[in-house]
Amino acid sequence: MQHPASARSRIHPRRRRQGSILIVVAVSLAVLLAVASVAVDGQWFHMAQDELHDASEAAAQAAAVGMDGTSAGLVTAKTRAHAIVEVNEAGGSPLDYEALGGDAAVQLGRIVDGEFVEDVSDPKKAVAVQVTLQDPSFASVTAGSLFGIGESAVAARARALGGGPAGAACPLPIAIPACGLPSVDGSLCNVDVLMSADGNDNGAWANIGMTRPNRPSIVSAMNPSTCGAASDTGDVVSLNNGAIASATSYLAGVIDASTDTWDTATLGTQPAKLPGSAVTKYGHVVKSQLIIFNTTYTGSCSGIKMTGTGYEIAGYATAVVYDAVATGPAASRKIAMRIVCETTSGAAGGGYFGTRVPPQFF
Amino acid sequence: MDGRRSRRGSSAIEFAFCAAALLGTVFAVLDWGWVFYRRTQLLDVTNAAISEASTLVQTGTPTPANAAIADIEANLAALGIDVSALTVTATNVGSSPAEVLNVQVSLPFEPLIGLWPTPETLNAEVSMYLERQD
Repeated sequence: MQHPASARSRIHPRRRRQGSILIVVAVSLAVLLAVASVAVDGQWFHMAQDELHDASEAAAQAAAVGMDGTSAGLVTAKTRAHAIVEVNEAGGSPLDYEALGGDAAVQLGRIVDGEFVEDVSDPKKAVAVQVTLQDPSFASVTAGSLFGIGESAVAARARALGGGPAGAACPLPIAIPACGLPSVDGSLCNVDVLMSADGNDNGAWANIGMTRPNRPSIVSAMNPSTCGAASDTGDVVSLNNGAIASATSYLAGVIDASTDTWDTATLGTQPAKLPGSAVTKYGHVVKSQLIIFNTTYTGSCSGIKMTGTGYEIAGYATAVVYDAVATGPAASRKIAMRIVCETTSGAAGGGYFGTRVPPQFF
Repeated sequence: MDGRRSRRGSSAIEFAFCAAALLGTVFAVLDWGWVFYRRTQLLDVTNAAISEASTLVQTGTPTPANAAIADIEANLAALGIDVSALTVTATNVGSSPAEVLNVQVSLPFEPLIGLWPTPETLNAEVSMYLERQD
């Protein structure tokens, strides 16, 4: 006679195991597919975020190129940002500018203490752009929406420093010490500066050529001027292409080649022609970046010496160089310019210069 | 006796079924992960190239378009990608003062495993305004 327990053990284990593996597989498979879904959608999410960032960077750069210091330029900036966003894609689909934030996503303003500040109260001072594109409901590939990925916002932000005279071929930045100007603040506009052998002439300049210059390259390209009254106007400068020429002669040639003529409405009364002017096309203007720098020298302005460690670009203005005396002894060489306006930002920026702030993710 | 023989081998069948499902999923994740990784590389290289090229003078040497193409090919090759089958197209669209540089890159895709369908080519396209609207 069989033991009752043996009989039970022969029957019940089979019934308990039947079908159990199927349930285990089903549950495991569901978990596995869920994990795979999260992995795939997560990858897709990050890739789309990369693309959105690229589009926002392109939009910031496009807006910066369009800013020319005028109110119309601010409108152009947003129009260009709009156009460039919609020729880019993210997540496999063309971007919809309005859906991503529209004009509100393109902020124009200034850089203050290294931070972007939205401010278009004075178009001449609006030189920075911040573009923030957000997709509030991101389409997932698999079932990522079940886990919240599809509801996340794909976002990207990019900043660019831009602005400055639109279309101006800013051939050279000119740096003069802050003490050489009546005041170095936002109200400094339409000031005539005569850089001569005596006076506010201890500056330096450089010709920034093909590559996109930024603050370090501007500083490195400028030939240091030396102490003394007859030192820097007419100083040889190292041009970007390696040629060396007299700065004043170079300016005279640039003015002659310029096709921009003096515009009284925007620039005011045209200053008198310099005695001994070497330019043949007096009144033709060259828009340039004027860099105002501080130095550690505490002596008189005429004795200021720029050294490699003395460079500190404190801000920049737009200068209209309209005349240059390129011939004669060094003491008589002069450069006449009008400072159209000045910003007090700490960045050297412009349509063709400027340090692009690395794009930021969030 | 019959009951014991009918159970033998059932574990192997169950394992085969589970393994197929598991490996299939793993292979899909690997291959598609590779798709996204390669495309991210393509996109990063393209964007870096066009960012740099857009600063060049249009009449300079090299032109922005040629500089972008050379940059992309060099950087992809440095990543160990075979650029012989790469297709890069860089064109200037529009005219000053709104000229845009458009770069399109297409790279044939080789999956790691190839069990699941994956794209035959990976594409990236970026457009940027030229900074020098000469």
